Amino acid sequence: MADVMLLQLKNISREFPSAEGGAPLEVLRGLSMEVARGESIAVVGPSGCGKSTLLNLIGTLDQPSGGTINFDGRDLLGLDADELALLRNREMGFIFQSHHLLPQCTVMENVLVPTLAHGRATATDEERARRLLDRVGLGERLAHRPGQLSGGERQRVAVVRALINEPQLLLADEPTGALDQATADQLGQLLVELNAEENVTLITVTHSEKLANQMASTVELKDGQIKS
Amino acid sequence: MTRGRLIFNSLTHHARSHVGTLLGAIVASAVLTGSLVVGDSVKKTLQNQAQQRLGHIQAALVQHDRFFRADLANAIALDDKTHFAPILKLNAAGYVTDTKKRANQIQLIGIDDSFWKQALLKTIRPPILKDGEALINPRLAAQLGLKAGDEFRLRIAKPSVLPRDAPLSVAEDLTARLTLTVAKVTGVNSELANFSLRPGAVPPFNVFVPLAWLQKKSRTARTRQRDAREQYNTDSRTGSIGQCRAEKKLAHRGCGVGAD
Repeated sequence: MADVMLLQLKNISREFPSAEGGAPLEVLRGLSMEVARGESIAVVGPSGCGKSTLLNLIGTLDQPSGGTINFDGRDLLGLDADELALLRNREMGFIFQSHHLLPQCTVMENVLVPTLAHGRATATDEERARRLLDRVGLGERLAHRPGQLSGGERQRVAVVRALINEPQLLLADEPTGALDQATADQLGQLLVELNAEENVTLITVTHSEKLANQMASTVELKDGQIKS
Repeated sequence: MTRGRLIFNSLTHHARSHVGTLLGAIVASAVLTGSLVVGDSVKKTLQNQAQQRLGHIQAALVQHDRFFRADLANAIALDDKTHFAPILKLNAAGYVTDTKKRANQIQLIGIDDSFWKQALLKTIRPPILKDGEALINPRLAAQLGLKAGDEFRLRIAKPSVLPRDAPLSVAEDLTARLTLTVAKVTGVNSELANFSLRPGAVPPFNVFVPLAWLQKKSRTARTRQRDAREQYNTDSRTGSIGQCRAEKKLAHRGCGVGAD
């Protein structure tokens, strides 16, 4: 069972201190969940329910106030900053609402930026980048810069960049939030296909019911807890 | 894709803003450096001016309308490390008869050898002045067109033991003329050429003469004035002479350093 589960969250809570010195703001309250390898999950809920906070905790961009997070058998709260950075680079991929591509680099170079964390891009990395870009329909746009791409194309480059280091977990925070409906549908479909093809676990935070329905399962948050 | 490639791409992509930042840094550095250089230059200039004006002098005891005895300098010498030098400083106006050139606000300074210990001499031996000879500074030499061996005249305010506005002070014959020969024009940056006890951006007109010679002239003047004052006191006691007549008599007797 331990091999099947990639991610285990137990009794997670996250509080933010009040600016006025009053009672702290509780965003997540005793949240527990498990995510199996290769699963695709949509996290939905109203604004302010803690979706992005949960994604930040899973992605080690934030620390919980209480509880434990196990990733691939490791307690994430027991890792130091360097180990967490290495983990994020090697085993996690991030997609945000904005693409955050470097305007000075080409599509190919942008995709290879995460490989610089461990030296330089190898021929294998370049071959994988070329294959993935071809897979998402950007095989002819390798030398183009982000300014020469449409919004959907930029977001597809961001997806490939998140997958370049062969992560086990892909975290997407409103990946279709800045796209029109048709492009959002295409990107959602692409994420699901890549989830299967690359055998990467996918957790997507979204307000889009359509995107949520494309995922294998859905988790609904309400008042900092999973709605049963 | 390498880190060098990423850096190169970033530099070329943001070249304009980098150039702007670089130019801004250059301008800011130039302004700051220039300010510091100008500040240092002004500071050094002021230090030089102060040094030319005061030499090694650290303190001065000044009585504006009174006189000290010259040997007071020796009397107050506490140790061998501190040097005291008496001077007699009078105000004067100078002119050259032939060329009609004039200079006002001249400092006529009577000095002796001890004075040169305070000066920043560039020569080993202090200049030797004979009676009637003068050492003048470059500014006065330029103003009057003088060089070594030339003759010029000074009109000086006669020293008096009484203030000019005192009732007993003489009302006439307040000045006297001296004819002097230029022994040497001092160097620009040496020999206390710009000696002055008052700060100022413009160098003074300075004439240095032997102290003993100037004292001799002054003593004569003071003696005459003391005689006049004693005569006035006698007349006042007898009540035979009024204030106006006494002043007239004092004026007739005179108190200058002597005209030549």
